[in-house]
Amino acid sequence: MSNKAHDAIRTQVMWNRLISVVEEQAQSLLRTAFGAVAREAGDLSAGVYDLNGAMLAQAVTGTPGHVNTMANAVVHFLERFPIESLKPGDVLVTNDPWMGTGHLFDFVVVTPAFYNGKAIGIFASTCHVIDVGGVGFSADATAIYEEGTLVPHMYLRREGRLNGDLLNVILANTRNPVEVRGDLMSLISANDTGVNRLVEMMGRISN
Amino acid sequence: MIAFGGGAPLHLCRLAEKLSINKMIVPSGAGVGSAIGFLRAPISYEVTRSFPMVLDHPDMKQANEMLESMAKEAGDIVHPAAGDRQVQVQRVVDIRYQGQGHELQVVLPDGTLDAADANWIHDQFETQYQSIYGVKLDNVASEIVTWSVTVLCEIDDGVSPTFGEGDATVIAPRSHRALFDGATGDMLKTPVYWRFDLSVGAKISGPAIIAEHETSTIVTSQFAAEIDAHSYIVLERKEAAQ
Repeated sequence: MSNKAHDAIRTQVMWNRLISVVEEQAQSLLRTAFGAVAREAGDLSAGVYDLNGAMLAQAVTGTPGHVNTMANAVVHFLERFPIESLKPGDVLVTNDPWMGTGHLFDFVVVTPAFYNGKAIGIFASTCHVIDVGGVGFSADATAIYEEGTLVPHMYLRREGRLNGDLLNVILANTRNPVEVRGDLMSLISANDTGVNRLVEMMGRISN
Repeated sequence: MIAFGGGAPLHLCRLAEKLSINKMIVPSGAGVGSAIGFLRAPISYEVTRSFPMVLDHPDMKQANEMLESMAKEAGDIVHPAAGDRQVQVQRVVDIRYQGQGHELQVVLPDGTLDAADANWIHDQFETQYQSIYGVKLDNVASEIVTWSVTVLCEIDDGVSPTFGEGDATVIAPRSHRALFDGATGDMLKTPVYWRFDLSVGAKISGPAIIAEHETSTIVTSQFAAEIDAHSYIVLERKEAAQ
């Protein structure tokens, strides 16, 4: 077999493996979610990105509404938190409708992946939480301010330490604090699963 | 991982490489494992009931009554077939954090359950949850959703596990062939051993093929094989630290 053909096959195999990494990320999210929207309706997405914020692979499980908006979301995080400023254990979050995934119910969580101390990629996942305050599940709001709590791009976890202040604000403004907290924790652990699988995968590939 | 069926030993090592599994077993007669299992399986019957119970306020009285009646229901089916033989009772619950929708399983201790057991079950659940998902959720109660009781009776069919001793001899491979190695991407010249040429204690380093009547075990370059006292092929990753 020619080297070119061999490389092409190898690339395809690697790509499939990346898809299986993010699929496991999505399944973790689905299984640990507290809200029925994520768990039963699968209204979520998961993906892995390069360091420029370009999406490389997306999970099969999920919805186009989430994954196609999420595809463009990571670059906005990187503009505010350049990859050089991020550390292992960091997690970023937003529910900004224009720079995130559509409406205030959809939280995007972004986690950088490190291998041997170097940033190698970025994981993002989203899901729809059941309530973010405001007028609730209705089309009656006439301005974004009525629709609920807007969380701008922020740290959700800094080097492993959860941002309790942010969580308190989000939970104080929702009608379903237990479910929303559970879903945010699921987003965090889904991304951690993705990071761990990617690191294992990198360990197996000889360079 | 335990491989059986005609196809499984062929793919075992490659699959284990991808799933981070370091130790696998190919039993004797693996290629016809299902048929052997069918003939040797214990007589058993499982009863499951839904009875949601948050472990913060356990109702162990009702749980114990329910478990007893489930054991009787399963036992009524197994005992006529079991005759005088000993039966075992296994109790397992499906449990999740209250508010979630997917459960993990915890094996219940034997005997009557009390409030202390509720704490123990919760701890078992959290330990398992943390090892799978990497986190524990603080201040969230766990909830048993489904209770399962299995009554089973081992059959002594006169076939006992053999504990052989061997001199670990390895008769030379019967042939060699070029085999594609997924980890290195190369075609490797691979020896083909006949399983019954290998005595108890024999050690083979991958890459190798161990052939038998109903299947073949492909030992990839990352694994080594040893024939244990049951004459099973036990595969272990060469560098266990990965």
